[in-house]
Amino acid sequence: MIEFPPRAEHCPFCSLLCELGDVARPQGDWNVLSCAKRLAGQRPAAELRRASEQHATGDRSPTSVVDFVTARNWLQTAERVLVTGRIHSVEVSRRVVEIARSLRGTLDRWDSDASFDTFKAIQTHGAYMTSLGEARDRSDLLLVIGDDSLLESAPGLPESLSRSGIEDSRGGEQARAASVLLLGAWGETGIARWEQAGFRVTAIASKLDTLPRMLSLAMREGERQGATSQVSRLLLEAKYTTVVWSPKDLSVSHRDLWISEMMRWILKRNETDRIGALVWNDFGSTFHQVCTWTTGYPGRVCFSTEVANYRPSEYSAKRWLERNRRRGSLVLWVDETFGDLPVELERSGVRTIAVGSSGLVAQRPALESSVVELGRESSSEWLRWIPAGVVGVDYAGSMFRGDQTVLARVHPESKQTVSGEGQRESLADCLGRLVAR
Amino acid sequence: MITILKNVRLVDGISTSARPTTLWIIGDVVSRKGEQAQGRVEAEYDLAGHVVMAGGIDLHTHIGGGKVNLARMLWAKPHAESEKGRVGEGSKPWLGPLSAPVPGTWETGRRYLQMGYTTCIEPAMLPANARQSHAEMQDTPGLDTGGYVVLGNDRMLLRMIAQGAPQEQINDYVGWMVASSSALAIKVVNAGGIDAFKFNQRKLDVDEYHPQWPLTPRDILRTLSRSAEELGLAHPLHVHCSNLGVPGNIESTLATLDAVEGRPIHITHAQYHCYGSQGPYGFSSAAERLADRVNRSSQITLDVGQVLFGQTITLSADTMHQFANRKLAKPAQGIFQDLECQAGCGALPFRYRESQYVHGLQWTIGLELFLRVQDASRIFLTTDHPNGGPFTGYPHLIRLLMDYDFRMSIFDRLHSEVKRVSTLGSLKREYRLDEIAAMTRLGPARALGLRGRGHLMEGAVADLVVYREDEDREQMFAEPRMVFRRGRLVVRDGEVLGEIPKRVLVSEFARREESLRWGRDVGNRKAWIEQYGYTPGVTAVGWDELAEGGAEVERAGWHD
Repeated sequence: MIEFPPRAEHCPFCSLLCELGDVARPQGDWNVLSCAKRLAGQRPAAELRRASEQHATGDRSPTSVVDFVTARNWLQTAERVLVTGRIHSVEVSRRVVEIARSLRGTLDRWDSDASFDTFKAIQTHGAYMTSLGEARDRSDLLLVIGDDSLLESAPGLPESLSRSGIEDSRGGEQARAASVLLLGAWGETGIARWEQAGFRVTAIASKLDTLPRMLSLAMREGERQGATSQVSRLLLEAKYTTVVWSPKDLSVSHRDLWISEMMRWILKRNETDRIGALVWNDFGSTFHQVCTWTTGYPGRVCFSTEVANYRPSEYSAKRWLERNRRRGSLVLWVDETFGDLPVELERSGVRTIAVGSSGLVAQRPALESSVVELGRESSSEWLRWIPAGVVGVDYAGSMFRGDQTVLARVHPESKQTVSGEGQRESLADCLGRLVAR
Repeated sequence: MITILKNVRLVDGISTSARPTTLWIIGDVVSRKGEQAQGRVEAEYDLAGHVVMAGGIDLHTHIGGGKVNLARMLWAKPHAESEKGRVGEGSKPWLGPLSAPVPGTWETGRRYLQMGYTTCIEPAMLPANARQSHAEMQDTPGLDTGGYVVLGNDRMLLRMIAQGAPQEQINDYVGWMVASSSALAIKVVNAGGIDAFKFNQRKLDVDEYHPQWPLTPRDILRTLSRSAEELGLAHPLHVHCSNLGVPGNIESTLATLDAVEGRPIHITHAQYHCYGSQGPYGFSSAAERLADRVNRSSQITLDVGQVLFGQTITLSADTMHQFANRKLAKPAQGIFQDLECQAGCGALPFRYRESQYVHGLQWTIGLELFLRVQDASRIFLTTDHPNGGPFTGYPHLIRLLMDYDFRMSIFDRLHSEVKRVSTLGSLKREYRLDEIAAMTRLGPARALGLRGRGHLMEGAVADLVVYREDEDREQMFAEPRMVFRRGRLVVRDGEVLGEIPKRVLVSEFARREESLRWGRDVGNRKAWIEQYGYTPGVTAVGWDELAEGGAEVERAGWHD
């Protein structure tokens, strides 16, 4: 049995590797690969729901009509609005784009720097990418860059890429174990995880900042490069190499340049060999996809006119907060996780309407303490909570897998596994009610 | 509710009223004999000097799915660097250029509608990506939409063909793919070639063996065309041939036509597939050869994929040829992806220039095809948006077809060698309005099995466009006076007045229910999981899911 490390966030945000576990393999139990929703999500979901139900009975209940009306008033009187948060489903992404447009506000997913570094890098030269299923089936060499933190973000990744256990009904080519070359600062735990998934692992400690250049040199100069000789040998032997990294977990000084250089190298290699990048995205990639198809841009847009105005450096949520710490500013925080409100938002003192999972409610006591520490009398001065259901727990929704190629339908667990009766209002519907005229 | 359109000339590709007449809209359908109709007359319009056509149908336009969104992302530029400012500005913003070669869904839907198009089909929906394609189309306002599922590079199918699986078994699998993607038809892109590229093969001709499997593209085409026919799909196999854009590819295109052994076939963006290798730069037109073949066989339909000069982005599932062309990209960018053991994609910015020999000749080859194929209801007007140019270029393209002098005025500006080698000048044909209606309405509707669309006969869906008669056909088709969707006026003089619920067009075929059972079979599920890594249901998009999103599902059936 493979055990995932306990996760603070709930399941749909496992990037949907959980869906692998739906059916038992003949030789083993595929359920061991599943399922963040089950393994990581259930406990916190139930706990947080209980917490939300407790709050819902008090005078200062986040669900009280007074709070809701206040939030609507804030929205109607705000001079400038930022719509942001942790937005992870198609349904909620659509709704926030609509709302930002109707409020003539600015729209950015919280903490989207890694995504925008990737967009910028790809726009510079381009990219050659592959997808999870392709890498798993076709790749004989996985070049995995980073460190153990990659497996914290995507705990099921080694198993998802492994062919180990598949019956040899499709010929030897398919059944052979692929090699994994770990580059970066992998620890024993991380290396062991890849080995447990059935890979032949070679780990080479490497400085990430110079890695694209090193790979380029290694290929050019082959075995004369000392420690890199093994790298060039493996790369030259491979029929289809997959280069895996997670932009968010990449510890390099200039992430956009690094990705750009790496993509250039990959594009160049494809002139003679086959190689693709498996860029494992964070949970917000669904938002970027939806925002791109609805507006033409992946986010960081302002709707001050009918047309989306895209400025990736100007309209980042953090930058907006820095510039708009004044009366008349309002943040509409939309959250599909169980995480805390970000410190930057708390410290900004900007009026905030937080709509989202019951997790927010659970965090409320902690937040109240931090408000007192900051010298404010109460969060009621600047914050309104509007709790709503959670995709994959309360209702079905669609989310992209981490490689952004499969948009999966995430269904809620059966009622028996979730505390409380019935389903809660979806976040998208709740947002719709909040801004309805 | 009744709407009366009086003194209007009807043009629908079946018949054209020589004299002005009256057309009734009763509820959401058309009536030619509405005098006795009961009900309140909502509106009555005197439309002297106008013609009415059915809503336009674009059966091949890239409007939703992974590669489309990658292209949008690739092109996204801060406001000052882009043309975004043009949208929403000026007195008639609906006549201006698109904000980007591949705009967002909102803009796409509105611009199509403002031009009088009401039905658009995404031609390359990967099974793994069908949900995204439908989601994007769902967010494209004003249009009824559908998609073709891309097969022919999916490894489960390749393995089945290579292992000699019975056709019946393959049909079950293909049926599952169509049904579980809520698709309208099957598309094959460079049969086997996309997968061959994953094995580092750079070219795959129709009779060349795949590097991994003992099969050829001919085997794939034959098998899939049989499946389409035996499953009873309305639209025949929709084929992007091998060797896209390669000089001399007419041979593989004709071999593709042979491969389906007389069954119905649709060749898409045919302009890119009828090149010879003669002439000053080893690149020449073979449009005449393809057109002759089409004229001799009623089983073949084409859409052209006309090139229009200007900036665009080319995007295709044909990774093999997109990657081969990456050094031609302008600006020098390009994004490619190998996808889920099913296909791939590539997006490259591209600028077609009048002064460039190849681009100029491509322009003439597309027009040659239009002018040489005699039956306008079997050749459809497309630019393969955005590959040949944006769909907003259709009015310009219509004028090119209807106005010889206008055509020649542009021809005269092309590279001198193009003028020397092209036979375009000798083709004096000028399309009539009814032929335009046939190629943009009636023909596509028939080819897709959409019985109630594309014409103005009794009971047709009241998706209607009213054009002011104008000798400048570009002006006429760019700016309809009115657009009705299912009987409701939704555009008037370019202004969008409202929307109606969308419809998703899906294939209703005889063995659909049986096909859906394929995905529940334990053995099939096991094979699927081993291949793709997840259960078949993960990517399946049911009609109920489409309906949840607010769309109505319309079934397209076999057209008699």
